[in-house]
Amino acid sequence: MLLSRRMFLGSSVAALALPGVARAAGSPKHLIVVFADGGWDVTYLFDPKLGVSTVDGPDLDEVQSDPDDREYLRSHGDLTYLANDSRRPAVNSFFDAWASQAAIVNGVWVGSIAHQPCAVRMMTGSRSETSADVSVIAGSSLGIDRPIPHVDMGGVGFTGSLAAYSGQAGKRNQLKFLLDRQESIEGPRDAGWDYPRFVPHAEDDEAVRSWLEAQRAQLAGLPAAGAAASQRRMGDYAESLSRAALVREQGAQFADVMQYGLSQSLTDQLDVAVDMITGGLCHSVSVDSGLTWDTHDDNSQQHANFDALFEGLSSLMTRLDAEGLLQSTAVAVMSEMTRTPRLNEDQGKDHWPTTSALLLGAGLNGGRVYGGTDDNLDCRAVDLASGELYGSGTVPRYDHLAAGLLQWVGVDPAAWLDVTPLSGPFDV
Amino acid sequence: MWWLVLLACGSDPVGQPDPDGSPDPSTSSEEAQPTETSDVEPVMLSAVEQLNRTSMALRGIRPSIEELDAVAASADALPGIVDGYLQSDHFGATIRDLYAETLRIRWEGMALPANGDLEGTDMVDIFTSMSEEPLRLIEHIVMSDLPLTDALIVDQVFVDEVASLMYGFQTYDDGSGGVQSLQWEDERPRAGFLSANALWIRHASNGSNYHRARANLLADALLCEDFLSRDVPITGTVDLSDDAAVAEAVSTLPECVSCHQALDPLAAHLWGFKKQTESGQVANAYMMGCTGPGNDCYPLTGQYTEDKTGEWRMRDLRGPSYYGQESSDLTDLGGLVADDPRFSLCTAQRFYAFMGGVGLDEIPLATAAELQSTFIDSGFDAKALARAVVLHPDFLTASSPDPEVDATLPGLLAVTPEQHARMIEDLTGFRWLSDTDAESLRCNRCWGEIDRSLNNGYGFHAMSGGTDGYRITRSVDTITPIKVLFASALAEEAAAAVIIADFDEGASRLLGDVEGLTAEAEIRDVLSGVFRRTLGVEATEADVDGLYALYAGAFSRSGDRREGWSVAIAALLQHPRILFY
Repeated sequence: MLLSRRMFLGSSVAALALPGVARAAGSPKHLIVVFADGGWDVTYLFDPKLGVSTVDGPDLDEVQSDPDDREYLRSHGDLTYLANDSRRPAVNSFFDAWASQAAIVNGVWVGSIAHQPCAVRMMTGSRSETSADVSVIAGSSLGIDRPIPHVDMGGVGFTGSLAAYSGQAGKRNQLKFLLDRQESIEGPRDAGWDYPRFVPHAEDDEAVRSWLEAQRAQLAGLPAAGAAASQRRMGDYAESLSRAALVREQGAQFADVMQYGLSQSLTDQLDVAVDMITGGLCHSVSVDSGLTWDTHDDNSQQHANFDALFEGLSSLMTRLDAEGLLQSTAVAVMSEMTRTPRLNEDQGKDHWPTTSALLLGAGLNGGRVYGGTDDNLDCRAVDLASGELYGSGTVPRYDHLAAGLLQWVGVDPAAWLDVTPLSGPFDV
Repeated sequence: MWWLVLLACGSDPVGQPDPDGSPDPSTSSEEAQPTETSDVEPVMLSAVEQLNRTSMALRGIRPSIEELDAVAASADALPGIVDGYLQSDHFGATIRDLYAETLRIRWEGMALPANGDLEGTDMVDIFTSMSEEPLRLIEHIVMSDLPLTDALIVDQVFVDEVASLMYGFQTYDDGSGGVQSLQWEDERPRAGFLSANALWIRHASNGSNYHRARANLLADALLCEDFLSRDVPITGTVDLSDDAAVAEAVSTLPECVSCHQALDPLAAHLWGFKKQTESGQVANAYMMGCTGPGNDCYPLTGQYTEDKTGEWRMRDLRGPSYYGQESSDLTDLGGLVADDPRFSLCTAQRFYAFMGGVGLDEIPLATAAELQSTFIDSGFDAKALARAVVLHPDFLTASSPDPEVDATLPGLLAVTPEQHARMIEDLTGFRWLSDTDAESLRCNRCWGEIDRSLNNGYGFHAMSGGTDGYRITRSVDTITPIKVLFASALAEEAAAAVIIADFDEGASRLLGDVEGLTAEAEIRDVLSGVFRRTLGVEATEADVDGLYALYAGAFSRSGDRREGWSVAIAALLQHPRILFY
């Protein structure tokens, strides 16, 4: 993509100003975070507990008259997961193709059993909703030359102080209408006309932008804007004006890769995510799986969810491969928590304060499983450097994982999180 | 009692600005002025800037020309103008916005489907009816000058036609229609908005949670005590799916007892409310052929069941009480919350945080205590509290030479999507209304005609910095690239609307009769006036030069004066002073 001189200069300055770029450990990578909102049951796949009497696993769902409906351990080298050829065939297909570029991290301690605090912790590595999440940090640190360094497709992200480097695409890719003002939107009911009703000529638009920039500079210099908070916001506004201008210059190109209303399936969303990266709009993306994971009633819905999730992931990996992005893209698939070892009275499962993560892409010590839990789904200690189970080591937490993710994609985690990264899964 | 210590703190009155609009140094409040820097004075906003900030914070719209003239003549006019703002419908809307964020009630995912008696109803109307149910009560209490504590006590619910059909209100007058003030018709305890169906539909109690998440909502929203901010130290020794094991753990394990001894007795008040009512349940019930009424068919008469109120006993859980005080039902709970000093302090903090665009934990304790004192002394008058917030020295200070004090100042505030939409409508009459029926996926989920500024599923609300009532719980406090793009699009559509109205319909919404103007001086005069009306400050010669250049450039290029006006108005409506106040 073409960058304006202003943006090029701006990006150079911003890259110096933003923490975490200079001492990055891994090679810079795009980051796609796929978030399974609601809390997946890791015993259905990542963390098998077959035959463990303290855990109600997916084997309880087996239909005995169907010989294909059997849970069993399936391995690709050192990567072992729980398979069911009948209920979760897409999982097998995925690992058959991509196991060597996948790593599972089990036994990550989250420390809460409520959705929002857990989501905050897993996404940001902190306890505060006002912190930026790893995908936003990656975008703002490494994709400063992109018009919108990070795009949140599902409303699952946390922008913190980096809001000026992030943007939401909307649940139905409404962003399309803002990227290209010529796109038509329905008017009021029975009005007989559609929007837009006025789009300035390009020359006028440029003149308006110049005037707004001058007016911004004037306001920023007034005593009224003297407070630290004012200066921060005016700085964000300056950044956002520049980025919005860049989007406008090539808005139609970006809009072309987005299809309004197509964000309903994970496969569609991930396709758009790759389009936005290859199209030069953004560096990192957050995507909501769009599946209902919060199975307090009927936990067996997890089968279909995992199958749909891996169907989407297979499509994503195939696409990344085809685009030549596999060696420069990291994919982190996460959920805020797992579910209780036991079924409740509604045959569902409630919340449990640990989880797993699936990591895909380049720069991984892939093809294996890290960490683990005991028969009560309690996290086991590991050596954070190797990820190996280690009795006198450290229970890996959400912040260890987040720091590791940052390190993996090429951002110095020390600039954001005061914690030792879980670095074992990553070849950094 | 730590809050009594806070109550003892005070502050000096607001520093008086120069009425001519230029910011002047002034004496700040005592608590905002550390001893070591007491000889250095903070910079107050000018009188006009103070007016703009208070008007936007309280109403979300610009001050009128008359109000601008009044404070330009005398800064002393501001308190009186603020008193007028507090009586306006726009302030009522702001109160609803504040509590929508506090209660996380405007979550579009809560909207129930348009089946049965609601067939043919637009989803946006169902959603609005549900989300605004508790908010209308709070607004009514505030706008009626009743103590805000009444919102936790009264037997009152505001019901529109959709809610009447949804819940089966017999006392709703179909002939009159509209929103009506009614009383609950079942046995539920009367506790203001705590009795609201919509609140507990939005905040379901899943699995074996047993209303604890709901209890935490109340503690967080009303007392600023968020149990969920703490770690949950449970281990595999407690099976969370085993009621008996959980009951045992929350009563005996020290790491559990520390929270649950307070949380569970709050939750015990809520057992009468249905655990969950979700869209899928209702849709499935109709697919199975139900004709209602029933738990999942309209009218939803089973939202409260008196017989279930004691079910905590069956789970061997703690019974209702309030932090050790005796309490038997939700009515008692509402009264106990109202009497709790934490409620008044939390309310003061929430008002300041919302209007000042800061986090609850970022408000200086002295400021919070001072506002709490005002709130209590006024008899829990929310208007008095809001007045104290917007006239507080910190709120009206531009900057401070003391970095520690400066860091606590709200500074220039980013406009929220609600304020943005309200302001544009007030200035131009334009709302970004749009029919979404053709875009809906299923006929019982047609959202109908929405406001693109305020809708998340089809519009730009969260994209432009708003909350979604679920994951995004605080408005973004700054301007983002998407917000800039949105503001531009909104400004252009609003400019088009106002040009059509003023040129073709003679509406005089913003420009008046300008179609025949050709003289530069006359056009500049109009632009100067519109600048002041839209941005709330006088235009300088340079401002008008720039604006006129935009007009003239577009006219010169197109040969169409309407094009010139459109470009100039669109530019004004996305000016940084539209985005910041």
